Amino acid sequence: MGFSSIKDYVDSEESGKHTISIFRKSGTVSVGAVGIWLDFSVFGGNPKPNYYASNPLESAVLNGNFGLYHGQNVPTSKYLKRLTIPVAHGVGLNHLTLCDYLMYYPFVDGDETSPQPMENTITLPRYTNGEGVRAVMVSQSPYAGGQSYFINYTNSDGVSGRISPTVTSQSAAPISGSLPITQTQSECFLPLAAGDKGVRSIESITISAPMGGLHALVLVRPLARIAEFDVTSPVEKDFLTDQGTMPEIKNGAYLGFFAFHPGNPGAALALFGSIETVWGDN
Amino acid sequence: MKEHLKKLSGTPEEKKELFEMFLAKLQSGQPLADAEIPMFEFLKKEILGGDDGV
Repeated sequence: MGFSSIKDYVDSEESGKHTISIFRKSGTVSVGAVGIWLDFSVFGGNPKPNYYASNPLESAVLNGNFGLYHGQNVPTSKYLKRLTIPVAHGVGLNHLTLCDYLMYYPFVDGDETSPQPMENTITLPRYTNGEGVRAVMVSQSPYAGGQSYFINYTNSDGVSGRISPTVTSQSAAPISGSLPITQTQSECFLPLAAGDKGVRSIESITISAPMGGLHALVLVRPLARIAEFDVTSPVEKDFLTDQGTMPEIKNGAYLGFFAFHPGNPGAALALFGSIETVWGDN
Repeated sequence: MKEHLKKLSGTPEEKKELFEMFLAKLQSGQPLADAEIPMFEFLKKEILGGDDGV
């Protein structure tokens, strides 16, 4: 459900059923490398950094209040209205993917070459069957990289023992918050076995050879994409008018950005902007 | 690192020992290594209590 008409949408805004919040995240280290993916939830600023700090290899969830703020829980449906990103860093342009961070498994040992089993003490809190849910690996510490890995997972049809195609970790700028995946991969998410539509849970990860570092496997639901295209002006996306559909944001969602940085900033990266949401009576 | 990870998944005493090692490091003016920060954040929550998941 949502809005039955444009008037309904406008009425919701005018009656205060919307929120605007500002965020600013800053990477504390020089990235200095071309073509890497970053998880901005790990970086400091507002909202506060996310350390993926919980029991090693046990499924855990993040508190939605500590991600990008999208307003109160609502009895109806809430939607992403607009994203605005002023380009602050002045060098290079990010391609950003807004995700709902659903669940994670922390402290994967990058030096362990035998399969590391995950303990699924809890299950997905949203998108519970796993359809559309993707897995991503985020480093929790610096690492050497350069090795390959794959995951065993249960897909959205409930079939366990699925094996992802093998991906290789990048070895440039292996900092906390970067994603150990090469830019030749089409996106930051781990590829799925043929025919699979999503990940319900992860059973294990296997790394081919020691690559160092600690890593978190994170299950996310991609919601929206926005690309910076000019260092001299902000980029803005109004989802109703620019896309014709507004992504739904579930109650309790922990929102954050994955960014692909194709250039070489050579300086600490900052990301700031605003997120606007709206909800109706239906 | 493996020793730290073992303690992180270990008994309450082992976790406390690791937490106190990190505390001693901080109190002596040394910063924690990048890999130690998420461990410290987890132990801080586990031993001292606090919010969830972050």
